[in-house]
Amino acid sequence: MADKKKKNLPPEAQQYQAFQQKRETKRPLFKNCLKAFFVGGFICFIGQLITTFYIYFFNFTEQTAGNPTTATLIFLTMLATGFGIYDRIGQFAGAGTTVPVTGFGNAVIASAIEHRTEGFIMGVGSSMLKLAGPVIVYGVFSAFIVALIKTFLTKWSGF
Amino acid sequence: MIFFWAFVVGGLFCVIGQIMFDVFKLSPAHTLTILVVSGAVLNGLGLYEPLIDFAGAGATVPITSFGNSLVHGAMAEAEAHGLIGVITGMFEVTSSGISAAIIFGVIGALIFKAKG
Amino acid sequence: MYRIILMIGFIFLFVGCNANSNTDTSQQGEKNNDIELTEISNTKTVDQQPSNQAKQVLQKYTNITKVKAANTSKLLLIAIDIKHSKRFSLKKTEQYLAKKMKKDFPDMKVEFSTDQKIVLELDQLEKDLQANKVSNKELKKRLKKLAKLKNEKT
Repeated sequence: MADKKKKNLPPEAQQYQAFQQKRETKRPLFKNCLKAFFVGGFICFIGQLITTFYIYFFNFTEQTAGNPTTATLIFLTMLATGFGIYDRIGQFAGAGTTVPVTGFGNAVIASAIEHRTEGFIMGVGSSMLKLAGPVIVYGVFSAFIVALIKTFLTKWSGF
Repeated sequence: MIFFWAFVVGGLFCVIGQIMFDVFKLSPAHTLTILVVSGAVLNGLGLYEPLIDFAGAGATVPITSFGNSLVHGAMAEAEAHGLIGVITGMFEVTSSGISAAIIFGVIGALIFKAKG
Repeated sequence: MYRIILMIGFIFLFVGCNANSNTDTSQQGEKNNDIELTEISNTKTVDQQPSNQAKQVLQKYTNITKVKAANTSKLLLIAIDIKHSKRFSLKKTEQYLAKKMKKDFPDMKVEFSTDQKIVLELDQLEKDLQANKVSNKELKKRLKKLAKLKNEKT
């Protein structure tokens, strides 16, 4: 893709692009991965703590404890987002805060808070899922395809 | 023991996400979408359930589990009601993540003010 | 080039996990001494003979770390915990052992679980049985509740 773009550009722009590439700060991949690993791992660790808590003290089994765990984590995310802590951790951890379900929660909650000034219907209501929308849309669609294929396969092999 | 593996497996999912950010230069929305789709596919191949048994929250907390449980709900319903269940059963299991995000989003918008 | 290598790396990672999950956990070994298991003496209010028998059978599997069981005259509830490294094939193990248990006790309703919650609750129930604190009626009620909890989805 980058090569195709280059051909249509005037020479000055190409020079500039080369210059820009040289000056672009290299992202320290290993260090970033390490940070993401520890922060992301820590969030999952908290998730496991909450799950264990629900299993020990409430009537949830391993199967059913997943849903309340997710809800609790997203509740905690709301607090962290509201007080501006989540952004700060996110700058440090990169994908470590994006990949867990808390990142999904943060995307929804942050845009809900941000668009509040535009009113509750057009602002909060319609902008809330702007970032999370693609996740839901393609999640549902791919799940539909996968489940369809799987159903057909099991039906056919069943006969 | 399960705490340790939850930490490691959850961390590894985040490393995969970080590599998508840094090496493939993808935006967070792209990364999350790809992860959800791969979660659905992994469930289709029958790989995600064993991972949940092994790592607990390490596999249920990353966003990949969203795709996994969508397929899971669809399959469970399809077994009971045939092909139409693929559509009707999809949110049977997963709804908690989305509904919690929406509910707490509205509550958050009521309580907190945007900064900056 | 870098990207392609990374991609291949991921594919191997996932395939590796898959190969791992195929290892069979159901091999039988000698009597397993690390297992956590208490036999309930037979002089209690309800005869726990089937439970003890199930424990005897399950004791032979080396990968099982905990066996808890209790029964009424009609319902037998068994819960096990297995070694963590074998949890990748937990579902297969569960199906295999559940089938075996159903074959061993054809005239009872057998519920077989690997869930942490059921293990916990059965442990408590066993302790209460041992201390003779549970009446026949209460035992029936508690087991029925657990069987219902076990079959709950979502």
